[in-house]
Amino acid sequence: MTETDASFLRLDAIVKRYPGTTAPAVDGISVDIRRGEFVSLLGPSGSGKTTTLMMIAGFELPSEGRILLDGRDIVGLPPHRRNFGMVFQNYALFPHMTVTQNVAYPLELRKIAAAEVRTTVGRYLEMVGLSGLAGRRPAELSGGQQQRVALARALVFSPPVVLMDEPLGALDKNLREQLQVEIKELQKSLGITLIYVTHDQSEAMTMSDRIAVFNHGRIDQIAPPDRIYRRPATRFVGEFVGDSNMIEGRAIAGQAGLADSPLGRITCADGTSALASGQPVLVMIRPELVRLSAGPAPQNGAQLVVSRITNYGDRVLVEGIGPNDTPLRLRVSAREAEGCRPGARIQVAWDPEDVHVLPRSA
Amino acid sequence: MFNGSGTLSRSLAVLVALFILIPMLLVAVMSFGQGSSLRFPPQAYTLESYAAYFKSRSWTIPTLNSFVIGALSAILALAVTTPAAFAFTLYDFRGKRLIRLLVMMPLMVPFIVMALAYFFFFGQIGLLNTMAGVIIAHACLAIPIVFLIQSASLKGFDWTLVRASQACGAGAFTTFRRICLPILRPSFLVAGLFAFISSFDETVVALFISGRAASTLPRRMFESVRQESDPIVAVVSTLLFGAVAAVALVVALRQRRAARPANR
Repeated sequence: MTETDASFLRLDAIVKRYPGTTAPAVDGISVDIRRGEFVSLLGPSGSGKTTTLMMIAGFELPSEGRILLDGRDIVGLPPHRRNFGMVFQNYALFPHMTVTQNVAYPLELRKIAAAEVRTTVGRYLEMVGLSGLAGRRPAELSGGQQQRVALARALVFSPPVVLMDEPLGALDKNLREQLQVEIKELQKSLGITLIYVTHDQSEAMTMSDRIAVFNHGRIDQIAPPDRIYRRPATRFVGEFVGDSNMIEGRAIAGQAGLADSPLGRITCADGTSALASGQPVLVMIRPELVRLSAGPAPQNGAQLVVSRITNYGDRVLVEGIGPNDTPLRLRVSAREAEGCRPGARIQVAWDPEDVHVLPRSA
Repeated sequence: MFNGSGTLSRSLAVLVALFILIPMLLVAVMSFGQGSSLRFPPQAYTLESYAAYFKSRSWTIPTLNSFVIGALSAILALAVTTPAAFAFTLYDFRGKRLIRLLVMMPLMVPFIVMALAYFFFFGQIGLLNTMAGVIIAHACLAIPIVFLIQSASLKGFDWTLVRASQACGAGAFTTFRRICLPILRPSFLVAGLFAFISSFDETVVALFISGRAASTLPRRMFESVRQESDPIVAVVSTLLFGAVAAVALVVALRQRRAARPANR
């Protein structure tokens, strides 16, 4: 892999301030995106992810910092010169044009010969499964079909980078999951570099090569989905992505992999060795990695009094209170949860490999 | 809830319609009358007044003037208002409210005041009694209505389309020509039609500044009624009424067609 492949698109210390506001919308973001990589910008609304995307697209100008494509600063380039494909949440199809005309538009602007436009458009419409609807107008299409047209329009001119701003936000759940798979497959087969804004963490988990988690205009962590999920860098990441138990504790000196907590001593497979003795830490255990156990587990477990049981069908969420009034949640199968009633005493256990420790300040 | 009063409200509607229509119908009947003066009911029915209208240059020239002035003032008003409507929709700038008030001014100032102002001002700069003068004055009078219609259509416009077009590789001018204009064209045409009608219909300012050379149809009709009591006035009124009814019918039919769901 060459160096330009490793940082094909580079955001270098990007800051965006809007006049009349105190906190910057985007507060010093640096990211290197590889050629052909799928990167999701994930975060709650107002965290700066869409503003960042709009700066990459050229619709917003950064107050500070550089945006480099293949080593070249593109901040001064207007959006129509950046040659990036873009998909919007509300589809943004041109209502007075047919499906074919919509998809042909970027090619016509690039002065491509009519015959080539026709074959290319046909190929991309087939790719998104809309060959039969080429003559329709956007108003005659369903939401999912419209977004497929928008997808074809954004890809048809083989842009080096494609930007998507919550493209599936307006669709219902089944359609959303279907299109997630289709977008991911298109991205892989065409080798597209794709930057994808979403506030849906499961969408980011299933599609991305890496996820950048946005929090108040900064990126808390950028890492592959598995790492984001299992080893979140901050409390915010751990709580935004997935469900979690966060237990406040303290690192123990010289005892790598041990922390004191209200639940007792907790062993974890990583993290604490770098921490100073007595340093406040957060011990994170995912509820689905906690299990009901038959006997008492002195170090990697606890005794709980069940306070509430919620059945989600596929899993049951059991909430309980442990030693020192520490709440703990676990997700188990309905069969495992059969014996649990509110007020019952249960024994739970977990594996040290599933325990993650992070500094409490973060 | 209003079912019980269906008959009542329907009869009331018919009465109101008759009240509005009867004067028009009287004029229409008179236009087919014989003789050189207006009379009701006519003693005999002919088309001679219609023939006289189309033969008389003192009538056809003002008619043509009105069409030319209406069309050119509508185009002028659109040319001035379109950039303004875009600017007011897209940007915030200092003095926006004050400038909006100025744009709407012709709607608030009485026509007679405007007419006097044009009379003195155009007299000084040599535009009095010219077509250009009437076109400019009528364009100014049409600006508020054109501005209102355009602003409303721009407010409903999906501005993401502009970004989508830019992302496809189109600059500002291409985006305007290929995306904004085709989508906004129908409502801009309606705005132009309103400007045309307001000019075609306008009498007070035309009386003051159009003179003989640029005499408009309403001015000619006014003179005719005052001086000649010429039955041709009834002909013109009937033709205008017919034209307006035809336009209204076309618009109504198009709306009904647009309201039908698209064919799959």
